[in-house]
Amino acid sequence: MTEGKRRKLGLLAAALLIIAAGSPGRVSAESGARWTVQVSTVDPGKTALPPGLQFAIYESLVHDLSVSTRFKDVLREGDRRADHAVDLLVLHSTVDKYTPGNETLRAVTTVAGWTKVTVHAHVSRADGTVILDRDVTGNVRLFGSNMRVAQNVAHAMTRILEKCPLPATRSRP
Amino acid sequence: MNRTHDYLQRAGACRLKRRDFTILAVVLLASVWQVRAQQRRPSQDSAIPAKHLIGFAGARNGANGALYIEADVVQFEQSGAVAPVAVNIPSIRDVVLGQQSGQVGGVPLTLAKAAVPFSGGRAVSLVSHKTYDTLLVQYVDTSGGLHGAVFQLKRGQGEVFRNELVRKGARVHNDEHAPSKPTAEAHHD
Repeated sequence: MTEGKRRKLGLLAAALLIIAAGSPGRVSAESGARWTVQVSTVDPGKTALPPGLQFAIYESLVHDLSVSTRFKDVLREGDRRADHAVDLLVLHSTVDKYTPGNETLRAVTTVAGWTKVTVHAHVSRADGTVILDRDVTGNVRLFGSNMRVAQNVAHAMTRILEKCPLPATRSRP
Repeated sequence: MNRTHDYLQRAGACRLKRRDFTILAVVLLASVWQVRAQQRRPSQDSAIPAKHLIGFAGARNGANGALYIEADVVQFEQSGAVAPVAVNIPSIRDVVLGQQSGQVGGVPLTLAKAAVPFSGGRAVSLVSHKTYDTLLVQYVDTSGGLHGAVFQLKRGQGEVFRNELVRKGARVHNDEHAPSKPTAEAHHD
């Protein structure tokens, strides 16, 4: 290998390393891993969201956030450990829109009977500082039961939280 | 002649021993089975076939099994699992009933319907649906965290189970002994 080629390869490797180290996902993931998130129960708002679906969204959120490495700890509503958590974020979810679907109608027509839920996600610190304020939509359009909408909403919300930049924590890593 | 006689006697004694051993083994097995059956009887009497949808800590999502009450503990025994998953009745905060409609047959029937020519599977979908009861059990864990376990039961069995829970002292906010109104989803069916 000639000297020129070796130099080019070295430059390319250095550039790749700089890009990888400077990617926002990596930085936020590192800072986020020090935050603890507490998931509140889903507020049905003015919609007629059935309690079963309401808790299915809550449970899916707790599960998905626990699987993700974004947060140090995921706490449920009412968990006493939240009282002593230093870097705590609270996730409030309010249902904005709910279109009840019908699995049979979906299976027969393909274009009707969709289940759709729009949830407003609000993440704030214990002192009230807002970190995230966004609408998330989940739906079931073809296969699966109506309950699957809960998993879809939770997946979408977790993806947003994984990408959301978080402030530096007060505690040291 | 004598030798033959001795041999036959020994063979008879051996056969007797073997027969005794077999009888003993059968008796032992029967007694073990009886003891296990007696141990399981209370659970099997009140057991309701259920499908765990989500939220019962330790149970697999979508697992079929049996839901029952033993003393002051609600247990869900997943088919194929070694030990049941349990929650104490005093830790229950609310029990809510609902209804939902869904297609029966799961993935195999869905694939079979897709394979029917001239969209004949759609016609099958018209008749292959069923309405179920959903049972939401809200409970708190040892650190105070709220859980919401959702089960799918046969129609009418949700109310039976909720009444049983109320009788055993479970807290129910909407304390009507009638099932709650069908959800909007069921209403649309």
